[in-house]
Amino acid sequence: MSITVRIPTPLRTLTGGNDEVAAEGATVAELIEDLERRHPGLRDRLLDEKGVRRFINLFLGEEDIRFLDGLRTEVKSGDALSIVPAIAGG
Amino acid sequence: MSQGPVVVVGLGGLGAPIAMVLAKSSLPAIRLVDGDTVERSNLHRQVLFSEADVHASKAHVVARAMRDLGYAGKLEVVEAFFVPERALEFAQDASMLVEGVDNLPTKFLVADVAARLDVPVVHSAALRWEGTVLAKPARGACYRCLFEDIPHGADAPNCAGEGVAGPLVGLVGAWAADRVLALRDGALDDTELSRFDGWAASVRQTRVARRAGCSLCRDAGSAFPIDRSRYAAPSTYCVR
Repeated sequence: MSITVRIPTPLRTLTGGNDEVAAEGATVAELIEDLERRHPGLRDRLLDEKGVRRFINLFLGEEDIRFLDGLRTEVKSGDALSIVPAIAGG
Repeated sequence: MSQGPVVVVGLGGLGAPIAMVLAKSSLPAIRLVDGDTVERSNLHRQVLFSEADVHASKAHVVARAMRDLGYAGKLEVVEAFFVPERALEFAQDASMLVEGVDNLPTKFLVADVAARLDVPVVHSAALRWEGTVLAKPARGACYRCLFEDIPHGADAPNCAGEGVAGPLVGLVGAWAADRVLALRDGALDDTELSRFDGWAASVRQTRVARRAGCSLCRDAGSAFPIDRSRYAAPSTYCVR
């Protein structure tokens, strides 16, 4: 199924400037693999060998996936995945 | 909440609207901390500053503006950067911290100082058209619960490299000040993350839960060390 993924400003260089992109998958991990196919380089900005990088948060709807089932969290049609990195500026 | 000052760290694009809102509040004491001076390139988004303020101390200009706006409480100016060696000195009697700084190491430093002092803290950030405000009651989930460690290089964009939309900082800064007042009034039991997209005109709010194993939450209220080794040196500041 196709899920909307919200891309934060720092990562939009990898999505052609788009703030939202579509990805296919049944879990968050599958969505990220599909994102990598469509937008090479994105996976490494989100994940390291231990899982989600320490200064990145992934929200499915309004829920942090750490408090769901992590990368194995299942997604359903109509869901939106938000990538929330640490940012500074003002 | 104690009668100690609310300590505002960073008086640029976010700090200026934070100060403007707090100037109209009944907070008994506010301490302004920033060692920076006004640059001409700041003027498009740092709304308290004018051409006449270029090269002046941001902290002093903001203090003058707050008095002009009618703030009647105790107002202290610290014309220095919030660095590990002096952070506790600047914040030791704080009732709350609020920051709008332009670099990630100082955000982590503010989080650590708030935890050590066991006081609420509000973090605010804006980059291009995106903004975040994290409002943390004293015992709520902390900045390190959400972002465990300091990113570097390409993973640590800031406004010096990316720019900031002028209108967005007014919105995010005002919201950060609103959360200061909400925390003062005990209106927040849990940490709250607000995310703004100024381009898509959307706001999303999430309650943030404590992360199991967060070392900062474990050490909160204790005299853990605040030294430079815990932070990377801030290397870039927003001059655009």
